[in-house]
Amino acid sequence: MALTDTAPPPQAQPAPRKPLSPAWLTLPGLCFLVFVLLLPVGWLMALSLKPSMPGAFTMEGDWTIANYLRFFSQPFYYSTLIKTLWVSALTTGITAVLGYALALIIWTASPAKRGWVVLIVLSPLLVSIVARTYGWMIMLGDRGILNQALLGLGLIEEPIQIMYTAGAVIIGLVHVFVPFMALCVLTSLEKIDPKVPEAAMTFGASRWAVLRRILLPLTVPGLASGLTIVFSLSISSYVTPALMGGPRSGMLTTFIYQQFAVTLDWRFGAVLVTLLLALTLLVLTSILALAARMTAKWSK
Amino acid sequence: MSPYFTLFRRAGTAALFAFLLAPLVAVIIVSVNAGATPKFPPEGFSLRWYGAALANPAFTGSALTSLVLAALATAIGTPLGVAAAFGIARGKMPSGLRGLLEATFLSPLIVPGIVIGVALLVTLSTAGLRDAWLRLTLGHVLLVVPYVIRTSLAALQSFDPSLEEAAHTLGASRAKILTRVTLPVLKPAIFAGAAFGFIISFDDAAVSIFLIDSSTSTLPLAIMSYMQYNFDPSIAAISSMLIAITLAGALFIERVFGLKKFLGN
Amino acid sequence: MAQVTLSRITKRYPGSDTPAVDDVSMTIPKGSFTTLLGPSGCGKSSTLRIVAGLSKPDFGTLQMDGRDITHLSAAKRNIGMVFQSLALFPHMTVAQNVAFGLEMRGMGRSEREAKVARALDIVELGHLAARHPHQLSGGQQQRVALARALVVEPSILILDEPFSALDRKLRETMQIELYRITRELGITAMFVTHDQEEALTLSDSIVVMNQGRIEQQGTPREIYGAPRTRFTAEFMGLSNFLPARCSSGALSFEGLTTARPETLEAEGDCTVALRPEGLSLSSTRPEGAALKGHLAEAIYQGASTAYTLDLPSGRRITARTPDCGLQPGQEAWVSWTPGALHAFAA
Repeated sequence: MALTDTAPPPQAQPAPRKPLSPAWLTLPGLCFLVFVLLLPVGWLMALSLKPSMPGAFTMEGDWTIANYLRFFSQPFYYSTLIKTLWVSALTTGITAVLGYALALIIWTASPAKRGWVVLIVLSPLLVSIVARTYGWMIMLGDRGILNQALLGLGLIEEPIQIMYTAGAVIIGLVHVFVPFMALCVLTSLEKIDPKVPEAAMTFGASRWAVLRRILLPLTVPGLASGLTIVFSLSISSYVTPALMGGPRSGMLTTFIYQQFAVTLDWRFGAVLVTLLLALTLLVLTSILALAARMTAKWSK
Repeated sequence: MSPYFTLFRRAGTAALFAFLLAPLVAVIIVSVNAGATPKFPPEGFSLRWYGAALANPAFTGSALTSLVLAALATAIGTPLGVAAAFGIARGKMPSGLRGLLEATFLSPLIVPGIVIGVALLVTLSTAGLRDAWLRLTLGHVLLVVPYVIRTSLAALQSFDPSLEEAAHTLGASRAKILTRVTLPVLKPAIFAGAAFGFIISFDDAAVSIFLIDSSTSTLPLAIMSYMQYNFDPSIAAISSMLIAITLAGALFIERVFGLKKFLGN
Repeated sequence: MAQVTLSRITKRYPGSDTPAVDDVSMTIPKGSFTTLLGPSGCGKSSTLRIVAGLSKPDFGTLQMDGRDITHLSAAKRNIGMVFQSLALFPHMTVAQNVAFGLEMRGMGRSEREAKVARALDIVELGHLAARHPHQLSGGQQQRVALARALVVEPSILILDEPFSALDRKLRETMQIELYRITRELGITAMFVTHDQEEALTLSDSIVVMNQGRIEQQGTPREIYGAPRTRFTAEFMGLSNFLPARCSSGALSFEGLTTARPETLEAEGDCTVALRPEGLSLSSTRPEGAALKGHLAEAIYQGASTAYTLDLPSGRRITARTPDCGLQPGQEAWVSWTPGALHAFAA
């Protein structure tokens, strides 16, 4: 073959087409999340800055913080916020103690018993929320098992009212959140070299000292994630307060339901939604930051 | 293991376990009660309330809705979640962005269910979309996605990349590596995430409460509204059936993947 | 420092047919360094955990200076223990780790600080007192664990394979250091290892364990030089086991009859073992006892070469000697130094 000046230079092998970065795979999910969660929630938060008008869910009207002022000026409104906070805090505190104990029970159980113990600890999670709540109604009602037992034992003369009080809500919430706490703490406990508490004992530490000086500090990360999970689940729980706290449970979530489904004051309801979200984020970040500070020195 | 907390345990274990199991046991006992009210101790054994629950069209219709809805949400949410998990784990991006993406995809877990429901209701109404099935499906896909992502991501992060390299040196194409090596290895994790998402969707009440309409309801909500006016043991019967179904599902997941892995952090 | 006596200690774990520790009795004299030596699962660690008080024996008693401590909790035995995983408290500084035992004993702050400083000086870590364990190298962590155990002035120092995670060079350095410290302070120590060289280096007394029982107990010299059972012989690096017969004054094996070693007590069937390092090869018949064989393999290993010899009986023996130029296929004679031959019953 004759070479001519016009002959194209020998073609290099075409470079293989560069495949798309796998990062693009997040796109469909991201779009979904943006359109179904982030934008709607954002929209709702914006709606809270429009003047209250029962039945209206569009964006017309001037921007205003009147709804927020209304919420914080009336005890009837802001008391729901306070009640939500203390019920959640109490729930979280009780859950922490019980969950820690359960985590220790699982951790120290013999391998043969461990599976059963885990199943019992997880059982509240494995059961439909409605079934669980109904069970508590049977247990705690005025003519429920607990009251009948107490009456039968002669400890009380009148049935005590447990259902439809904050106490019932806390019992119901602790029951279902305790597994989360136990698992979080257990995750931390399992990272501890089992020889570490043994070492402490050989150096003369009592059981109490082992718990306080060794196990507690080493489980701060698990405890912190348990606290954040349980607290955020508590303030955002709806079904348990609605069923066990009665129609006027006075929690933020039941109040939200009332605003959107009964009163139909959606713009004011949007205030409650915004406050609930802000509260969740605030508490989550502060607990996590606190835990990070406590373990910064020794965690790798 | 030496019992560090013998004293602690002896005093507390029984009480704690009783607390955990009490409502479940109460439901099951009441469900076989022959009487018309949830009395304790029961007035004889009967399965009549199971029959009553199954004969109630409000329960059976909503149970069907819940099943179809959970299946639909899982079918849509699983591929979305798996793809996103691949993107987060394998995509080249700064670690800050990776963290942000991960947090975004897990965010439905920290947004209260009732807020998800209200936000969807408001925006879809604004857009003129008022079909209950559409609203419910969108809301429930949102419930499923984080669980699929969580298990898939965990599996992808512990995935041994030399498996794919080995397949590559043996002459497998990218597509073959994916279908013959990567996905089969990830299958248990994906499956567990999907199964868990299914249960969450089936059991949800908070998201759905704003998305149902007068003709379409889910089972938990149907039970809740029945409970407002009735307290008869047919609720215990249907609750017992739900306990049995969830327990079976949970044991199944435990077999495939280990429950603790995704109930943990 | 104290003397520790174990009497008929027996421990069986649930679900196991054979006891982990089976009727073990021994005495660890005051100020002596005693090593439990054996393969994994031989019961040495279980024995050590019983001495430490971390597990309770099913049967038998444990005495410290004549006082029964069988049922005393670990926290009250005044022991210092170094764990295989070290078990340093990750959330405490080096100084806090070392001070922990003193604190548990209710010692005041100033006294505590002085003692911690002295203990850290002994292990040459004074400058790292404020660090956390994860900021230290493996060897430094090892020293912290040792200081933590020493600072409480334990009645007995218990060490559970403390060097198994270290690389060879560091391990040797730490062994020498441990030897120096324990001898300087005159500490009663109980050490567990599966490494025979480590046991020989460190110990005043070695207890060889197998399947929960004591196989042989003695000084390093006795254990190495005069193993009494095949198990001990094998564990101390002996090989080339040959069936033999023993009658009054004579030992015969592989068609050869030699004088009977003094350490052999049995009559009748017995076993002869030849230490591979004590054998030498030659192409001509040497003086004294020797076996003739067919050289099957020669594997060069640097300082020595491993020669495999087929004996006429069909058995094989291995000799590890400096390269002697013989090639596979040749006939060769193997002879041994007096210390290389051991004989024991069956």
